[in-house]
Amino acid sequence: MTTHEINELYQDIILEHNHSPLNYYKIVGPTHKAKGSNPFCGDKFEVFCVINNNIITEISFVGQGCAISKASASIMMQIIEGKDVSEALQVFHNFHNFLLNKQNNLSMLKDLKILLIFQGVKNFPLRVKCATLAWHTFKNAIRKLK
Amino acid sequence: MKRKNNNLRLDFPVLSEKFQGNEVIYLDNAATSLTPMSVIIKISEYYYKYSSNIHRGSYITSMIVSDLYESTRLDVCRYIGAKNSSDIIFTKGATESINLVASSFVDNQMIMSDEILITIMEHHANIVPWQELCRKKRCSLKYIYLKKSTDLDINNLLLKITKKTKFVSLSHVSNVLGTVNPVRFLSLYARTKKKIIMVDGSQATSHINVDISSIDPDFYVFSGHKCYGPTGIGVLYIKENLIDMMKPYQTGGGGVLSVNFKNTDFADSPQKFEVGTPNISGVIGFKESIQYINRVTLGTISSFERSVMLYTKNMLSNVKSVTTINFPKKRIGIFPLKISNIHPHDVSAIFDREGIAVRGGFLCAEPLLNYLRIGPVTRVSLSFYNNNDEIDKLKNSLEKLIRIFAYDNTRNK
Repeated sequence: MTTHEINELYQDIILEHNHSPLNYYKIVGPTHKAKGSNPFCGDKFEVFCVINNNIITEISFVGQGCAISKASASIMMQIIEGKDVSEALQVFHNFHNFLLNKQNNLSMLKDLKILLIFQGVKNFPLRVKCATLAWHTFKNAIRKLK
Repeated sequence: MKRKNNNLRLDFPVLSEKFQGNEVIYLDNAATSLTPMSVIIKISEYYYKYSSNIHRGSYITSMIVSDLYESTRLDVCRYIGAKNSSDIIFTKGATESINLVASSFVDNQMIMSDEILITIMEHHANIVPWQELCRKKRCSLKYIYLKKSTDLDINNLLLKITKKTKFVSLSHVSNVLGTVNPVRFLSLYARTKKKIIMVDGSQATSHINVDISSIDPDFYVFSGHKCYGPTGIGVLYIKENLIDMMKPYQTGGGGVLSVNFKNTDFADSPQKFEVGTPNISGVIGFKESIQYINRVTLGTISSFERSVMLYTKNMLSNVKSVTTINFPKKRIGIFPLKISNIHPHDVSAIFDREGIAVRGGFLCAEPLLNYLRIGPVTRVSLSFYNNNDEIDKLKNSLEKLIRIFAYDNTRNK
């Protein structure tokens, strides 16, 4: 059980994103940016984005964090680049509810099946913060849009 | 020292508990120590035998409790080698003790552009109160840096004590590095320079012999819960000649001689600093934790700790991918580790599933880890009830962890 839980938490795709995260750079002249941290474990991220007409045309991040937080940040890049801001926020909302077990209907995640790799996080309630740190930081970056 | 600590391990009920099918391997002793059964019994005895307030009732249970409370002050006084029990103040912990000194003493001493001197190895409890005070009084906070060995750089200290320095505060033992600082020498030096010095003994009092009469600081603070006692009880030692210069930290019931419509006559120390109903069961539990240490003896504690520390040090040096950061000359069993490129939070999550409790992150000492340019770490911190079997299990978990994350190093070549 224990090994199973650990393997479920640290799936290969997560370790791959942790090792080589997508969009891991600073955008020069972003329209929006924010810093996010989790003082409990020392995770620190900075998220940058370029938003034109409510479309996220470019998004990136830098910082340090555990495998879960870094992989989640990397996958967030993949998912929300090119999306409408409100659509991106809806994805976050669904993802968060999924992690908190509030929403078991996975179809809500639609074409975002990739996020199911974070299924294992549900067994580790402390790690929900890790899996959502970049998302919270993104939300914070665009708060002035609303 | 071939004697085993198995009998002493039985004193700590947590060590026989199982979680998620694992026995508890507790390696986070720098955060808080485990509590022996005798202390747990004394805490509950207060509630089921003689619950009553102290220094108020003229009935039997109140008198018993008042006696226990005041005799604990005497026990603490003897334990740390202080002269008068009235120099011992009970607080809710080392953090409150430091805040009390900041607010009741240092605040009055500082004028604009004065300096407070601390070390870069302090935990946040001995940084933030001084940052706040310096902001309020428009003063500067200066840091003493380290040598490569992670010992305090004494030359740097001599340089940093200036005419402007009004107060020096440093930890007796670092919660990250395990470094034991030469507090006796520093106290003496501070005295020759006419500086007031405080020593934070949070990580010291349960591991090494602390003798206030020899160290001779102006203030010394520590917490009960790191000395096998309950949480919510701490100590502030104040050198006798400073007490009258200090104003009450909080005011209310107790701590007063008389109160009229407009004014109040405050009591002398220690009552002056202990207002309201204190943590009575905490003090009574703390009394037993000191008696427990005295029964086991600090000599036995430190010899067991030394033995398991050397075993751990040797084990860690034999596991590839583990980097040890600290090499102090005089130390206790605290190991901040970098494990390959694996983040401490991933380390502690995997250890947790094996029943091993370690701490990961900035360890409430962010300035130190940034100064050392190492970022968050995984910390293994030992106590006398830890044994070599536990360290063997730690080794197995380390190897398992490295196997899981080996993915990173093989796939990306």
